[in-house]
Amino acid sequence: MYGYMGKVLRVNLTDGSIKAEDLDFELAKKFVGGRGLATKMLYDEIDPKVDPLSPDNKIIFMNGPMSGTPTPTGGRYMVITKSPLSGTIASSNSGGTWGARLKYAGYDGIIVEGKSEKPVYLEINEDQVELKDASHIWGKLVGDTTDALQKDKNTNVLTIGPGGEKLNRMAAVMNERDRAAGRSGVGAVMGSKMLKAIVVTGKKKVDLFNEKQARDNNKEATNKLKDNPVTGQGLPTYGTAVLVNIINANGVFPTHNFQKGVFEAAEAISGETLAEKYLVRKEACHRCPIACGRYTKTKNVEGGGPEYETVWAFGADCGVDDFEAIIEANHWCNQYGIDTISVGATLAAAMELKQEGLLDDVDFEGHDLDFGNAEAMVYWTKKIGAREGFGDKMAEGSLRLCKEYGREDLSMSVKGLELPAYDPRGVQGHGLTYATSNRGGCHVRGYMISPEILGLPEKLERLDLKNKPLWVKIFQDLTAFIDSAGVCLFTSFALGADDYAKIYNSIVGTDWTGEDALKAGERIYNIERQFNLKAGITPDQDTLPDRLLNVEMPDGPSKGHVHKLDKLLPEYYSLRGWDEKGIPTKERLSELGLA
Amino acid sequence: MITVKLYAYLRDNRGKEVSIDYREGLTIQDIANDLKIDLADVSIVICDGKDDLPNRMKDVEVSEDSVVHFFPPVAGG
Repeated sequence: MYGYMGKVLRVNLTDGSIKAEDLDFELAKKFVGGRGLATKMLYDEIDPKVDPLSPDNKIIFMNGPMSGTPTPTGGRYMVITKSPLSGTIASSNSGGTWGARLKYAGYDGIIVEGKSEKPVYLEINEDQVELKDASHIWGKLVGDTTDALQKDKNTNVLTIGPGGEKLNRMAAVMNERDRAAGRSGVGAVMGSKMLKAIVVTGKKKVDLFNEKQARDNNKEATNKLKDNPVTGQGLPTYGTAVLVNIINANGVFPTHNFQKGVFEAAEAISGETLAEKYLVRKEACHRCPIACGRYTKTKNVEGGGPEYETVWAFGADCGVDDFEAIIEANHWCNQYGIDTISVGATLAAAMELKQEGLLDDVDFEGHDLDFGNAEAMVYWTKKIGAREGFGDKMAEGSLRLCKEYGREDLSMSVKGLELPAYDPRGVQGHGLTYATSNRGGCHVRGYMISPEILGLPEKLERLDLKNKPLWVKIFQDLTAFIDSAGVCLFTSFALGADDYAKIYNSIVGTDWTGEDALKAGERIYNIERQFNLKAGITPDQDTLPDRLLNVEMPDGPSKGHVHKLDKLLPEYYSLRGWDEKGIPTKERLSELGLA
Repeated sequence: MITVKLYAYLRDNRGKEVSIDYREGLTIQDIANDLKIDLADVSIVICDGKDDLPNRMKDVEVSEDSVVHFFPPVAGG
């Protein structure tokens, strides 16, 4: 068995048992690893109708075969569970080094089941695996917890903060302090199980099928990443926030909870401004030659981030042009272990509820949640983390919040997951990915911004509909493979399906083509769909908020447009081999080996 | 007067925003030439809300109050 360590830990928190089980190699190859393999395991092991915060839900941490190998960016892992925010499959990805370290400890993944009676953490030192009392770190912020558990340079700490402990539906799983498996509330599932952290130490090596070929592939892929102007220059120099200006200039930078598409103060919160005023250094995840990570400092805080999506969520979406406040909100999200996108978007939804006069009875404690109020934005970010005051209600996420005040339509979410930083009224393909993402409103399940805005790998007219469903399907399938293989999606700015297949072959010993990689991605997309259907997520939820479908964009270069989902969805279903109601056909499932 | 907005490293030695006098028949290529910008270093041009690749935009004639954006290769997400 090459590329995989061949062992998966099964940890039962109810009875305290720990077993190292053999990995089913054939199953691993069929579902690649990471996102695909863990989703298949979850699908087989739980009833998708389970209450996500009950002991019957499971949470799986899973590597891909490229993780821990010389492959550039080969250090990413996935957290798979049923989401307490959306009720869909939760499928959250993180970088840093923790994932690779788990392989160096000898394991492809960890399946956590049941619930502990008291706070515990899992300590893995290769063959020594123990559950330990976590009462001394329960309640602590992510930074303090990491300090308390960090041993030496061969140790990596994954933890939840108070957000996860208090079952915040937007809670993240954090590793190396500020890398986040951020979306879908995966941290709350850890918290519901009373599992505070997983500390991993290890120095084992991943066996590769063809070491020389893998080294050559590594060199070739690294050169492609360095030579590519995006991954070799744009991302390293400015980080992901360099997107602020180009997204705003196209009029698809959601402002004031998607009420507008242009933020007048975009320059003040751009990647260029970040680089000029707040950047201390750039940071790289494990084996990453891109180094898009930022380490920033203000007069009050310092740490990792913020990323583009975060800058948008606390910035334009909340009408805030104070970059220091955005950096501080990002800092507190990392410390409490909560998702910056969902938290910022929920604050923006609350601001619009207040704008509509629906929150007159709320005690804002002197920190009024009005669009543009930077101080209140930071204040309530911390309160969401601590679940205090009105922050307790907001910790349920924007959909539950807006429903409580009778205005579900003001939650800019799909399937309960808050939308990220692109208004689909001006990027039609990207809107289709939002509507059909298996985890709800997500930009990294098929990043159509790449062709529709950035011109990569070719420029598509962003308002056109032609061929968009096919592009979306291909991007979704390729992304599913990349997430399952254990590398970063950003490599796809420079690498294609054939490159990934070549790398996979040298590591695992297969003879796949790019088409095979896409087929595996399609299989993974369909098993996620099957999970959701069994969970009761009906295809009529493949939609967008009413505002984006029926209210014309009021300003900027996308003025006058709405998202034309009804014209895209039937073709998309057909390309997927799903019936007109969005249900995968037996024929397609059989073709994919899922029937 | 035409407003030209520059981003990322295209700002080096040029600044964030440059004004250019209008002249009849002025194209995107002419503006790039005036600013000593090689369009090979540009990934996206937006002119008055219309965005496309520089090789498809270079012959577009601007108007007296056009706003033109030049973006180098950038990405994120």
